[in-house]
Amino acid sequence: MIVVATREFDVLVIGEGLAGAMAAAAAAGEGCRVGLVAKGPGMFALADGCIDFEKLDPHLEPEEGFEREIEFFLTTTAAAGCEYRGRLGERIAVPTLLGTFRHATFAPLCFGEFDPRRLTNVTVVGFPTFFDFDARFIAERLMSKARVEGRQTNYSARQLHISWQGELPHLEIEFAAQFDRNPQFREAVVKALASVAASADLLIIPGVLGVNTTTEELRDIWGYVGCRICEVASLPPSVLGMRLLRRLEDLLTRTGVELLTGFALSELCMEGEHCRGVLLDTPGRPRRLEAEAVVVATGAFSHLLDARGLMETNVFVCGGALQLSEPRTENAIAIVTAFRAGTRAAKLGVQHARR
Amino acid sequence: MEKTQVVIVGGGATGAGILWDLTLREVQAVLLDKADLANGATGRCHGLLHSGARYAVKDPDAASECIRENTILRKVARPCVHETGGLFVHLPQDDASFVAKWVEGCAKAGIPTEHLSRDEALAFEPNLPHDLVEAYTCPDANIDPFQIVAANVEAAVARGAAFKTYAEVTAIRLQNGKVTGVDYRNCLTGEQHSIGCELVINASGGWAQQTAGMAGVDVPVRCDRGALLILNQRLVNRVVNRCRKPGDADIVVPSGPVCILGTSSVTVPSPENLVVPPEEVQALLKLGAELIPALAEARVLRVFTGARPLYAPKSTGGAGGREISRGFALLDHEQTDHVAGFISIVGGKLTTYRLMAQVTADLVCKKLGVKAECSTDRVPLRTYPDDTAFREALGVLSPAVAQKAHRRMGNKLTELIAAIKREPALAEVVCECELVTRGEIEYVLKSSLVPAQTLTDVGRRTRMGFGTCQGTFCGYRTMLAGYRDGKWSAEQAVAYLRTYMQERWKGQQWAPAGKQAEQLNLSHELFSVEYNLQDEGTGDCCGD
Amino acid sequence: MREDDRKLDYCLKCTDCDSACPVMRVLPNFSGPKALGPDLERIRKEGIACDTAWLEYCMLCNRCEMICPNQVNPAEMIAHAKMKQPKRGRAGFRDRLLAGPDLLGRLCSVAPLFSNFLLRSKPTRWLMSKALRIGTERKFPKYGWQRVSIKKNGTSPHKIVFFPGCYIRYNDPHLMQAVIDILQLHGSVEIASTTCCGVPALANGVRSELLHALDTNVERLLPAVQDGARIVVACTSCSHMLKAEYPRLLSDDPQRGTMAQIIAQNTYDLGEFLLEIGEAPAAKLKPMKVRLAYHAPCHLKGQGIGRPWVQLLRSIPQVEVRDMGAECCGMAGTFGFKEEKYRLSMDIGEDLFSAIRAYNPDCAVSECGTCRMQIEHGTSVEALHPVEILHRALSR
Repeated sequence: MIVVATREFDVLVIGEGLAGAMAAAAAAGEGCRVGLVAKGPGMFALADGCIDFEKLDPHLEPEEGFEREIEFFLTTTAAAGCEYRGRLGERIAVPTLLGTFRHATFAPLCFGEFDPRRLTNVTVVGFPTFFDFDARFIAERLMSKARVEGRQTNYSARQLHISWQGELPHLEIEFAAQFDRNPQFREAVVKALASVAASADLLIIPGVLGVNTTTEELRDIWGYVGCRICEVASLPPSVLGMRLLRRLEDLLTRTGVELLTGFALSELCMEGEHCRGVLLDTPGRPRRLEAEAVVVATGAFSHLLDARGLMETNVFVCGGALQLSEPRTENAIAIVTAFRAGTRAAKLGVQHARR
Repeated sequence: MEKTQVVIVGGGATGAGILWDLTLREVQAVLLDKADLANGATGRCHGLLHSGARYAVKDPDAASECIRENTILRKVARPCVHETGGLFVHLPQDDASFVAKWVEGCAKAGIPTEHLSRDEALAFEPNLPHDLVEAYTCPDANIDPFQIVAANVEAAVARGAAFKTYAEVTAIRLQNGKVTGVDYRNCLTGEQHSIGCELVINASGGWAQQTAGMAGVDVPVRCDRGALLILNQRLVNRVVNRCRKPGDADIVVPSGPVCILGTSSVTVPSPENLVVPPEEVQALLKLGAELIPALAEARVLRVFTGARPLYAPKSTGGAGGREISRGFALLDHEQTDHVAGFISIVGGKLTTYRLMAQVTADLVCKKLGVKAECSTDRVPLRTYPDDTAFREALGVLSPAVAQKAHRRMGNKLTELIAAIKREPALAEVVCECELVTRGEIEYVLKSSLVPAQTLTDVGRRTRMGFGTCQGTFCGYRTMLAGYRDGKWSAEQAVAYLRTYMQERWKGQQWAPAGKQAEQLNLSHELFSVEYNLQDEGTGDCCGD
Repeated sequence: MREDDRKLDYCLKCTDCDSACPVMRVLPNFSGPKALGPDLERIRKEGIACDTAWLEYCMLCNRCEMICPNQVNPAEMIAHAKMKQPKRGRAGFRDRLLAGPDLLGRLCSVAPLFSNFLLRSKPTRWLMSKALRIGTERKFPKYGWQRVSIKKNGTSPHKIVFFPGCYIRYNDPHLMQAVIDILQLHGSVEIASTTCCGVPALANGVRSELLHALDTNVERLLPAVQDGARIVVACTSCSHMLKAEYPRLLSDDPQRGTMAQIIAQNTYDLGEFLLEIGEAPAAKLKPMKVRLAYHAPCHLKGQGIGRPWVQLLRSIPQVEVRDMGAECCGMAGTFGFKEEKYRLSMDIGEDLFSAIRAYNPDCAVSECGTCRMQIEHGTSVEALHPVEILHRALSR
């Protein structure tokens, strides 16, 4: 007589990437009780969070455009403390660790609030224990690129000297964790940055200013350092990606979404074409999560199901699981489709809540 | 102008073997290759040091030749050979009478084999099919083709020989029907050079016909493509062969942490721009799963292919692939085409490279009036360092990393240890899938007698990027290492990274789904999109 | 393909596991779950000796396995590698001792007052440090002597087998009584005559001890389960071991593997049991005006049952419970007792300690015995099992 514990939600979201987070936020915003399940973070937490609308497949574009979806995305991320900047139709240049510029329509503010190519003096700051971020390399590349494009920006490289007793972390993620938890360490780092900020208009540094840092806190740091700062995405584990995920998780929890992460789904509970819920593969006994509407946001390599077959009844697929995207446009598709999926799921979910 | 006695065109196993053989006989020689060492068939083969058992029924001469060479190489090139041993497995669906002939053929050729019952075989290799009939051991082994070529060249260079990679021969100069030298172009810088010499040896494998054409001679070579699949895990500990008439997908070779399934046989017009259709990959996996059932679910890291250069003179007519003997041909063009000072050596297999080099060097010495005999069957190519060096390595590296470095570097391990003691940061592992340290990367870029010029070269020398992530993390880190060491400027470094990643991606593209497709997706997400490796999208955009 | 081999193929080297590892966070040179797990696993198949000192720094908190989006099992790979690692020197001897707390527990329970005096005295601790490299900073937990009483015949049809675990059995008879009192409100209770669940053996990589625990417990628990009983466990390390690890560790053994599956299916954490199966207690819950700092043990998080005790405690009027939201307390069972790991253990726990200090609670609550030890050591705040709060609310 094995009792499988059951939890009920109005809307259940499967997947914790950008699509899953937006869908969950959308459904919660309509007043639904939302549960979000995921085995682990997806590509979003490994990447830099930039969103590119330029290469989006035109046939995805509805007559009314994307304004509602983008508005929702921008307000949600701002509320989460991971503000984005950008406008549809415009491009932002984000520096990369290869000394190129990556172009995006929307970019998180950790990359700064300005075009790095229009400044006069840019200092690329190397950290003593990070091998994956080579300031001299990046500066050399950016400099030669500027000259080729006829720009006058001056790029120089400097090494940061942090006055700190203990051993410095070797990985950006460890550095960021210490930045979060140890106020003295934080202070030492910010002081060190301030001392190289001298004559620079911009500092380009690896992404290390904490995993829990909000945009407001970033602005404070810039203020203290006395210079604009642009954090650059490095090889995984990605601090910038994790930061975005944490901020969104925090927002979701504050708005009442219940996060149940860490366990794979063993099956979808189907009744004909209607999905009753899912079974979570927890140790000992599975746990059953039931919902009126289910949003599938499991990414491009979904093992769960062939998403396209389930669009009939109460299952709404969004993001990479739609298999419409290649890496470049995955985030744009996520924003657009997740809002729609979340709000549609919420319509069903709200009916359920009223019963 | 540079002058030497002999110019060898082609840096595969044969060319490298000839360089070493001639050097030991004190003949001055320079080796040229238009790409890196072992970029042709040598670097795209199964990595199998045949015992000869595979040819025991069809080609007994080849079988005897193989076992002799196998024994020699296991002695003189010990660090490059992993003595895994081999198994020939009799599956219930295969012809039992062939097995009897095979056992007889091995005995005749002098290949030691031992019978194993079904249970004994399964105890050796748990991943064999449970319904196998029986199996036989044989002295097959895994040989690292990059290491064996590097070892030959390194040993030769240590004794005064010279070699140049990325040196493409553009002309063979003749005067009065005799070779006087070659012109070559530095592929990396574009500069043109010349070398004066008495003899040119055409050891350029799949390009032998092209090279011979420069001397006005025709050497008919048929290129035969074989596809090979690298699996993520070492599913077998021995070379596992299917005991039947040689066909597709009947050999699985363990090679470090991976294993390699092969192969196929398709005639192609040229050794370059080879493509393996996905259907062929699926077919190989299906066949291979009959031998090792786990292959049906195993993760394929990479598909690669090379062209076997088969000597195809008119007398063999239209026969292709396996029918043309895998034997080799030594062509003295003074006799056959009245071009003095030009020799071609064509065909053959990796296992018999040393013998091919020997017969070539014998002919060279005869022409040059050099009396020395071949000694490559006795003089060791590379030695293992003694115990103290390995123990010292354990002091600065974790055991697994030390073992890997020890295997790859042989007695050069002492240099690595010294470097790490000077700069402890060099102990950091750059390629985590294959355990390659920063120190080893620096060594092959700067101090080695056989230095790497490009990122892909580093991969060949160290196995960097050969593992699960296929260079996604280590390629970038290696690029930075080369930049920091002053080997490449920032621009050159990124250019090499581009070529490197393209090459790595190419081998993973065959599958639209599966774990490697996901790995490839991650790699593209990082390099194509996030870091914009291709540097797309220039021009202004609105800013603040 | 073998299940373990299949999982090895799943790894995409994304390093999510490294980002979740509490040890990597504070120990700069620690290789991490990716390197010690899937990276080295491919090399281990070559037969190369991959033992490394870093293996013993893995606390087996399982956070890496939970976060892995690809279902790779680095902690399991590390646990198996630990078993192959030779145990050398004083530290090795110590690890083998610590792997079997049952023996020490039974010995000390014979004369607990004397044992406590001896084990906690300065000269003994000095000796333990020199001979066994057990840190002097902590005192060994006390062994208890009170006898536990069980009434016959419960009030409801539930049959309950209580698996105490070594800590509760030998060190905290008071807690044992509280659990039994609560469980008897729901059915008939029997204390399982089992040996140590095997977590210390697994963590210290002592195969013989682990197999002994698996074999003994599986034999002794199955009959009761087949008889319709549910196994209830108050210590989350024990419940995680029974639910998650027993089936995995015995998966190669067709007979015992099935037994372990059945046992796992019928094992409940105490809070889980009370919330999901237990009916509301007949007696009313008296209000308790207390501020409780709750810490969720790693092995609770790994069961995927949420935070049942937070819900249960909040049902007591006037109780304020706040989840400290910390990752890992750093004790990891026997890990924090080891001299060379003491500092690391305290560094990992610092987040939790600061959160508790900032909240300034009346007491801390957590389901894991060693988490409680660590909280008391790091903050001087009393730490109780949440069932003791419930017990007080029922019995006052």
